[in-house]
Amino acid sequence: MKPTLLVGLGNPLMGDDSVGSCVVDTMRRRGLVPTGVETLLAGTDLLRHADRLAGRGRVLIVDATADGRPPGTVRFLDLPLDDAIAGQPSAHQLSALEAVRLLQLLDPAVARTRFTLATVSVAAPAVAEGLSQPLAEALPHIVEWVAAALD
Amino acid sequence: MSRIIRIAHLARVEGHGGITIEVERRRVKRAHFDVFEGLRLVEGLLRGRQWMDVSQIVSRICSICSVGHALTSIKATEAAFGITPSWETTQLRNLMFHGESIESHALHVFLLAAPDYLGYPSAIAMAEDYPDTVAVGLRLKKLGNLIQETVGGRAIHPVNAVVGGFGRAMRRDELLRMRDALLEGLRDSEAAVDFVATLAPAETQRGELLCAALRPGTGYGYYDGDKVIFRDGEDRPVTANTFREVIREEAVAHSNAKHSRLDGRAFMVGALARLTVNGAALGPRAAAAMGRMGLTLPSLDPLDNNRAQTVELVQDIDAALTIIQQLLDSGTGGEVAGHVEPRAGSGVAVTEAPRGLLLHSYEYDEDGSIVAADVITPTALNAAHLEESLARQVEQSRAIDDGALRRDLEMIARAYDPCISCSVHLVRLDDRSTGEGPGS
Repeated sequence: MKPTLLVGLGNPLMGDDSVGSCVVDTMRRRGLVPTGVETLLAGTDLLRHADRLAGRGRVLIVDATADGRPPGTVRFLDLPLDDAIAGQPSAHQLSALEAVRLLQLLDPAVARTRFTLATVSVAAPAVAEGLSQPLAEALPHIVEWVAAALD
Repeated sequence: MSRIIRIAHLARVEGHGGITIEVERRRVKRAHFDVFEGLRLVEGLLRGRQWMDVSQIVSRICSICSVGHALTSIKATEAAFGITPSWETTQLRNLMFHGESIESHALHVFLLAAPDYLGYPSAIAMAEDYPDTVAVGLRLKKLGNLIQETVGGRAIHPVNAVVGGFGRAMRRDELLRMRDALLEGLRDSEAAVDFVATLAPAETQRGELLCAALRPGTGYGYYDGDKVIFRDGEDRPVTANTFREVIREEAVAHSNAKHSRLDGRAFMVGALARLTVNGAALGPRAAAAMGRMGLTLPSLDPLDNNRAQTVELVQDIDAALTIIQQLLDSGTGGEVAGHVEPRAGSGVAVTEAPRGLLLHSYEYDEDGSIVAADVITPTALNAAHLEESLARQVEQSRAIDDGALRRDLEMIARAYDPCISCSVHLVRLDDRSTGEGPGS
């Protein structure tokens, strides 16, 4: 069994959309990744990294969500969430929920993996480099919660 | 009494668009492919930027077409500066295009179009019953990603392709790794043909097909060459430099994508158009795939674009293997770009992105800064033809209810594989107050 994998999702050119990547990058730089946990900055296309997901006991994915909650709110959801996938609205990139569901259907080595999605609430992402001030201020706490979830 | 058929959001296409059709006494009064994706303003953003930044900026127009935009940009800049790329550079750029085509077509055929034929709302739902089939599509997508990432330096928004050549040449081990992956992909491309051959043709209309495609410099390529062939029984060649004058782009009220026509007629671009114009250049395996899928040319059915893309999946793998073998035999991995001397001038380039003809046109000043830029995308070129196909379907449909008709309309729209994000395009303005030339 491969080690636990911590995945950061997000587009660094889209401001708060990049919070998943920022969390993982911050944990790497500050030495906060628990021993034995591997990390992956996956951009916006989780499907492309299917090989990295397979054969693991656990994968924790950090991603932004515009769910109307106060920016910086963190929720941990065990996947798959079947009722969250009603259709396939986008053509070229699947959301983390959709990508995990699809890969679990196709690959037994992914199906056996326990996936957790850590959603970080953001306001509407816009073209920008770096996080907005509220999210940047919340980042240390978000990092703590994610690190605790890996213990 | 009239009725409105409205599909508010067209799912399983790239970007945000919809369909609105107004029918009165079985005649279509208007058929609109509504593009309400936000304006990208990329051409305005380019003004004043230096030549070395341009391909990086325009590749952000779209992630799935980023190779197409980046390389077409480089080709236009080289045309403006009088640079002729080497054989090695041209071959590596051709290889990148084949990689992009493999990725894009695999996604479209397996994840976007196939669920329609089999009655599923999504590829995820389809995967529950057809896991092996969807897995073929994802493996082919990965193969396309590998080629783009290896040659371009990144899976999307390539950084290694630059004006004059490449940032670094391919190593022999990288060429061999791509070759091995392509050889493994041969079996998946055959499986793709077998699968698509089983899909029953939908009950859609047949209309007249005026199509347009780049005539490649050699073989069945997407990059080299500067002549566009319009075909409808007879060929009408048009050079890249005169293409914009001939097609007469015009803004329409319901769409952020301009519409184009040739002598007042809508035309189609994309895989079906390419096969129609350049089918004689297909390799034997791709030609055989056409036969196995029952695709005969010329085809007037827009849904046959799905089959045409599957043919190109086969052709792309074979063409990529040929290019890699040629590079291995010649002992070169491409040419590192040398010094580039910018100069004032204009350059126009036409290529074949996965969805069809793509044009970039730039005007540079003597310092190598952009004075004016224009980008025309395949989805914009297809928009008028798509609307005519939707109207014809409504008038000729034998669908038993609105639900069936809506399904057919969505299938037709998706068959054009629209990339709406690419297609949005600001209305041309003449800024007389500043004395600047026409922009877009």
